[in-house]
Amino acid sequence: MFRNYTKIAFRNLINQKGYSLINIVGLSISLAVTLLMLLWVQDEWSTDKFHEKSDNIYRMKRTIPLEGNSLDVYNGVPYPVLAAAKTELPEVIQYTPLGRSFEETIQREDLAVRASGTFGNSAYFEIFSYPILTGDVTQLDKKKDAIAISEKLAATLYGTNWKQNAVGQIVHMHDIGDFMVEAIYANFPDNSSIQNEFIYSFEAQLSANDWMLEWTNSGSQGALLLADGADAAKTAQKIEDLFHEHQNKDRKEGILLQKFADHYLYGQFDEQANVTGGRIEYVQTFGIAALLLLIISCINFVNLATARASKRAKEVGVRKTIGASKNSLVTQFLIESGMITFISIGVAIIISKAALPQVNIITGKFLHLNLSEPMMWVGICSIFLLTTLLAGAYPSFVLSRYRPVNVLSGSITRQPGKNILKKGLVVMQFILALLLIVGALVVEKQVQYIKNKNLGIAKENLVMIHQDANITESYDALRNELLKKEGILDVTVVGPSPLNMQSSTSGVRWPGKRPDQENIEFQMVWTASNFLDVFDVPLVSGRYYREGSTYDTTNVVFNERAIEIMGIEDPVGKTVQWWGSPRQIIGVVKDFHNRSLYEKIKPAAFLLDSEDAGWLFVKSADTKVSTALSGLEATFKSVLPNVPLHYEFVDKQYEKFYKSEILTGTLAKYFAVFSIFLSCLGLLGLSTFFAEQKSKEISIRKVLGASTYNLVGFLSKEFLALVGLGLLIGIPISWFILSDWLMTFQYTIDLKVWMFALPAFLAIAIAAMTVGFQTIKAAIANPIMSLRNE
Amino acid sequence: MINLENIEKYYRSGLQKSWVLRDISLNVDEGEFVTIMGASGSGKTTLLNIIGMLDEGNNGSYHFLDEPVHKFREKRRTEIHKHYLGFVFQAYHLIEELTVYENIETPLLYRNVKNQERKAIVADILDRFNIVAKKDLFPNQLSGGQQQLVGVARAIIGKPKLLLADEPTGNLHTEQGQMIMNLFKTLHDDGMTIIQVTHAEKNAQYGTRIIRLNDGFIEEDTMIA
Repeated sequence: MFRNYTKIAFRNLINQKGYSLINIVGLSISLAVTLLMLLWVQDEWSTDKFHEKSDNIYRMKRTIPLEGNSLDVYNGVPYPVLAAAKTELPEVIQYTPLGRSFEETIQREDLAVRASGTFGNSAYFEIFSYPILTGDVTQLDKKKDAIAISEKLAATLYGTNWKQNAVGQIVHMHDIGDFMVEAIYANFPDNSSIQNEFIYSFEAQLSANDWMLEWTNSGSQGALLLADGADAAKTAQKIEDLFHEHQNKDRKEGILLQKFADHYLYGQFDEQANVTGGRIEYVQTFGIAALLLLIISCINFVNLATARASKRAKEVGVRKTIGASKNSLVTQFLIESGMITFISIGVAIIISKAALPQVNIITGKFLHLNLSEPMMWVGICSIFLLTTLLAGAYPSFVLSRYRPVNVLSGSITRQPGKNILKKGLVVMQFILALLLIVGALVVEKQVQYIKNKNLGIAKENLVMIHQDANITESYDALRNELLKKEGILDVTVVGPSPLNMQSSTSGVRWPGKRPDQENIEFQMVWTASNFLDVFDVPLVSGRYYREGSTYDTTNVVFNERAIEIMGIEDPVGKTVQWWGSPRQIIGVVKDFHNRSLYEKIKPAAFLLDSEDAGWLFVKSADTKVSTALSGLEATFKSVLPNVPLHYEFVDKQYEKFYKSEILTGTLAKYFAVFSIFLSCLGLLGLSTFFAEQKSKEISIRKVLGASTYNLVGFLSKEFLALVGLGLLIGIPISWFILSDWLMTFQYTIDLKVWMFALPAFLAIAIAAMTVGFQTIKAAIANPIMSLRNE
Repeated sequence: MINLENIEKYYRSGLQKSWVLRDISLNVDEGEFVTIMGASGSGKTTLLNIIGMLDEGNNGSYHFLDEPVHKFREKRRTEIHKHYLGFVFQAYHLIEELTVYENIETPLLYRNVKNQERKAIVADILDRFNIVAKKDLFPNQLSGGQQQLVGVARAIIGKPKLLLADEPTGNLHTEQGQMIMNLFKTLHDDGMTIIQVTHAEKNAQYGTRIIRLNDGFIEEDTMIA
């Protein structure tokens, strides 16, 4: 029986080449997209979930009560809270500080490499499943000069025999000193959100940064390993109680424990400190988009299959009279759609394999299509079954319902209901297509807007260089040399980057500060006196710091937003309390965007301190960027011959904030192209069958004197009406969805009519061409041919 | 074998009923070869379809082998089709995608006949109908007569109790028509019950009984000696 079905299915596939081709091309493309998306979603989903103790690992977060009853959630916590949690609470088995990974030059004799890493303790390797390959990682806790490095870094530094040669060797880290390699760990897996090629002793970090020991400094981050069965919420409450003992303010900060594995996808909290989403929203959006594409091509399948149902009707009738049950017919047609899906999946796997490197570039991932993995096949088989059912169920149902008495006498009664469904599906296809196209356009526009938005601060022609001790030491010499180079306009030091202020304090008091303003955070940025000139930021009132003035270090400059929050009139000359000592406001700087555009401009204080600023900024002339860069390189070689130079363009760095948006924009473009292609592929198929069905009517009309023009109109009208309807319905839906998306930004483009009109026009034009091609072919055919067939 | 009582069939168009069959009562015994005749539109095909359980009357009762067909669900009807009935159509209605062999084999597949046995039965009938050489051809490679021969072979392969034929020779040349009718006669002689619909008086003479329909009524029911 099964053989008989597959035989028929196969012969139909061959006999109906056009039909099979449309289905296979459409399904293959959408299945390939689905497969790739599934890989991506799976990768995102598995991120940080590979740790064996994953269920018991929590990231400690801090909540800050703000004005009203709202709470802000921060990743930063004071280090003593972390340490106290372990010593005071039995349910906390281990803790580890989590350092921010940074890039560093590591030198072994003459060999210098760039690698990124951070500090840690041996508990780091106890809590997380990063296996140690050789050496003794507990040395991290015992020796300040201990470092553990990854297998990859070990191989780069010590060659293939690293296992024997690396441990016990000294490496030089340019910013932090000499370390002895004590352990080598396996490379962190690709789906670890943390990637570190070296982990140096936390003790070393601590001794150079004694602020970490303060209960009031929330500049650290950390994770806890809880005992099996420990209640995270209760534990968090106990830690919070410990924390409260060390805060002498009215509105005390709280502690929140979030599953470490959840942090990556669920990083956003609402004002009640409940998880609202985060990266998961992108994962869902793309997952849904892939599903929509799959649905579009399944709609094609359904439409084509029902359109040509009349051709199969006779067979159904005959089979029923010779004893076929409904079930056996449903099985037969499902096998047919299964066969097409099967072939399409094969093609889709080939397409995916070929496209994977490109996809990895776009998404910045290391996705693999590993066919020897059983889970992969579970996924593929599920897609296979889903598609076969989505595409095959309805046609099989329709076909198997035909009554022999109707189909065998050649009078299939046209049931209007079925046509409504077919039309409905075309309408839906174009709703989806429009949604994807408008989505692509709007996301692209928003990304453009972000890239080009005037932030109120210059980011063009600026490069930034991480400021280490060497640079600080030779800063004056370096600056003088640099200013002599052609193309270099100015040099300054700032920290942190003024485009992404990441350091804040609530230690500002001013006359009239309300109790509910207790926890207001002011961003801090340390600058040199020429800050405003380099970044083209205007001064609103007062003055900026004077070069070489020691007196100015007890003054402060705020931005407009800060003054607004403090409510100080005529601020210049007024005094505020800064960390307990008075500082005079000498100037107010015009507001510029100091965080991502997701956030409003934050209140900020500009402080004078060129010693520890953090970043060296070099500004070059518009037209002489490359000259300036070679000047920069030459200067570094002469002034700091031992310090390797690494610079980044500020505007490129800025774009990294919006990696997700830029990725969304790129993917949306692909989705838009595929969706319109697939929808039109379906239209092509439908109009072909439609023209075939109507060939007799066309001939009669032609004999009666209809022009080709009339006929094309007559044939296309119905399809284009459907496309138009789909677009009309699609516009409000896409408007709604996109304005919702734009709400996540504080600064956005406005949705304009053309953003909907243009894609709609485009869709209808492409659809008209598709349908037109078929109908013109039908309309210019010789009428004798089809009339004689009757 | 077949017992129809007061079968009526009409189509509703608006408020009006248009009658196809009126008050048909009919008995057919096993072994009969019945010919239904009548002008176009007299309802003969509809009557055949009702007997063949492809269609249903609006009123009346129908017993097949003492079972009440008018109360059957689709599943039971499928069972009857599978085991007791064979159909021959004017337009042959072979499955285009299947070869001669596969067309004939299909009813056995639906009966879940084992592979070996199936091969033997099909080989036997191909032999009997003299179409062994054509077994791997597709229907469109055959002449009308040959196609109808395959149609008959397919209809009787499952040894049905009742063979129903709707204008079996309607699309055929005289000579081919005669061949098919002779085949029917042989089948009847071997004990098969046959009901056919035809226009041709000549074809009716192969049978044992003629029922003439006129405007949905049975006008005449005569036995042929």
